[in-house]
Amino acid sequence: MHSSPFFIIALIAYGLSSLLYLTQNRWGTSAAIAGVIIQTIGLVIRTVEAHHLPFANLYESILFFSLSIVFLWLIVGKRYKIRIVSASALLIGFIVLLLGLFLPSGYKSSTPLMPALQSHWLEFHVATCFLGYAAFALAFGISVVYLFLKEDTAILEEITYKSITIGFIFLTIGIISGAVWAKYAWGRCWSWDPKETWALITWLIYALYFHLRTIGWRKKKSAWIAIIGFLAVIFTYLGVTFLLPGLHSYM
Amino acid sequence: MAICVLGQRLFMAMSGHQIQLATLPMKKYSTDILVCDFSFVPQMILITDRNVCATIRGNIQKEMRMKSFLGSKKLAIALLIILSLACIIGSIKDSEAYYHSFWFVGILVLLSLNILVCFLNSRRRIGSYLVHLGILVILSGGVMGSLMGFEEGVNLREGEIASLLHSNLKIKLHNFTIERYPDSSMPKDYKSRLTIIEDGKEVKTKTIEVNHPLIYKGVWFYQSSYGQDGVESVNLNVNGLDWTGRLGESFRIPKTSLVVKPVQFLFDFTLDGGKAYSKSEEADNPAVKLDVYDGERLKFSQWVFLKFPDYHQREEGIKFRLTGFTAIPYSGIQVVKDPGLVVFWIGCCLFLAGIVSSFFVTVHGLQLSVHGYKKNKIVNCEPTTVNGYHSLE
Repeated sequence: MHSSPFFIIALIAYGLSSLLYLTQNRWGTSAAIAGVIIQTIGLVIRTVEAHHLPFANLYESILFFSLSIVFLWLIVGKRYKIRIVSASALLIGFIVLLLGLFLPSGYKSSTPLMPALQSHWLEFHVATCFLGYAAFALAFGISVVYLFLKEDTAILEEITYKSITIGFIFLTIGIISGAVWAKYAWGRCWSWDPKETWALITWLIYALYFHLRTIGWRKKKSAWIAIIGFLAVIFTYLGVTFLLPGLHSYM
Repeated sequence: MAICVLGQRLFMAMSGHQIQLATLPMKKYSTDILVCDFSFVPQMILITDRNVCATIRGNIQKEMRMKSFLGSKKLAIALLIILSLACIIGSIKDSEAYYHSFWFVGILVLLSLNILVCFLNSRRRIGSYLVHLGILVILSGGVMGSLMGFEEGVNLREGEIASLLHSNLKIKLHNFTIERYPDSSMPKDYKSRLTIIEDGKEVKTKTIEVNHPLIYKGVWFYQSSYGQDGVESVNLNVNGLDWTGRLGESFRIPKTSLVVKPVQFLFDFTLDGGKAYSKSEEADNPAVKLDVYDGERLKFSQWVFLKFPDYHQREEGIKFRLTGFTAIPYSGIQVVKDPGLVVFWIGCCLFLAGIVSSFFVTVHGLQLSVHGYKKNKIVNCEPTTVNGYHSLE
């Protein structure tokens, strides 16, 4: 596949960026931006090769997921200039992309779209869900750093809160767009299949995050909810696909 | 001693006077009246003026009504946790009936009541109102659909007309086409040209495909699946001689008195306890059963397999081969009526509007939060500085 080299280079860029961020902001950001551009080029090539946008199988979704993580960080989080947090955000992007590249080659081949996926809802629904996941991934990274740091840095709590708000909005739009699409494709907005149910569970956990804050569960306590929420994201994304397959499994 | 916050104004009351300390620069301010007991917050001042006291007490009582169990935040949180756990169990059980069970629905009902009571008792920001109202409307839409709607699946062959169980409408399938990708058996597209018949008249015709249903009077007709459940004809080769015909049609083998009749066809032949059946509708192991007659007498029966031509040849001197077949496809149509659909969408829009508007509302200033109270005295509170949070609370 002609797109593969681009993803490997992007991987190296993200890894480098994460390391560079430990020492200074400028080179870390440059490496991250370079990685994003190169990975985007790779995805464009993949789109041309596969004759559809890269949202149809596990490999393509991991590529988009890792790109979203770094991209969102550059847009929302970089301005805070907290090096340890930037480093962890890039590290998460690096690990996700690494997992994608480690998939057996059988997963990486592109297959033509089956009729159910031949719809513009595909891009919209999958992209919004993964942008949500990406924001939650960032919140997870920041919360982990927050729990390890000895001081109560209020700014970390604030970035986490913002990330989760962004993620919650995207996930809500993702779930609703999924319901709209399901109505047009299969006749029902909601079928309680494992993927839908787990997306709802993830959504409920982040709703809990907001509600717990109103009864005083803030600072480090809410960081734990951010972490639990991301574990739910992982299960919704990968656990359901491999352990509870159904109509929604696209490997 | 007390510092009292009423609306946006921070009061300090002392010796019969109330002095307004500051007007807090808050745009949308949701928390109500908070009066703190000086034993917990040392800089507080007692309110001794009776009128001020009465006003404050009245407002505190309003605040306390909100803390009733049904409208409490703690119940909301407990229900969110219970609902999450219930969904986790449901996902492993993977049975849809579970989500319609009495107790799962009960959780949703409790949650709705909780939202409703919380809603009626407290002042909130507009975003918060919309978000919670949206949830109630979504749930209502779901209930309407469950109670007043229907769902039905129909399989039709070309030319067939089918009646529905839940509706007086009938469907006619004019033609059904499947287009496959060139190098695989995966379908690229499958479409049905359908006509809806109402009271004997053809009222609407459309070609439907996946993602593009036909809608008539609130009933949605979907191209949901397809399959093959029969063969129009089979192609046989007997001792080098080709023959094509239907099941039940017989032909004589030339220069013999033998007559061959294909009687049964299976797409995916499987043997289970001596009984042959088709494991699936995919042509993974096509097989035809041939009855061979000598004159009027049935001499023997034999299964012939397309993919295993040399398997189980019984009679020496005669080689039977299954070389092909023409399948009869059927189109799987899903028929759905969902009266709650519009309500559901309205709920989604409300919810989204609420979330997005909350995102743009910033909160600044001083907020005193009440965490515990006894009768008319607030016993535990905490002043927190809220700055720039896009608050969904």
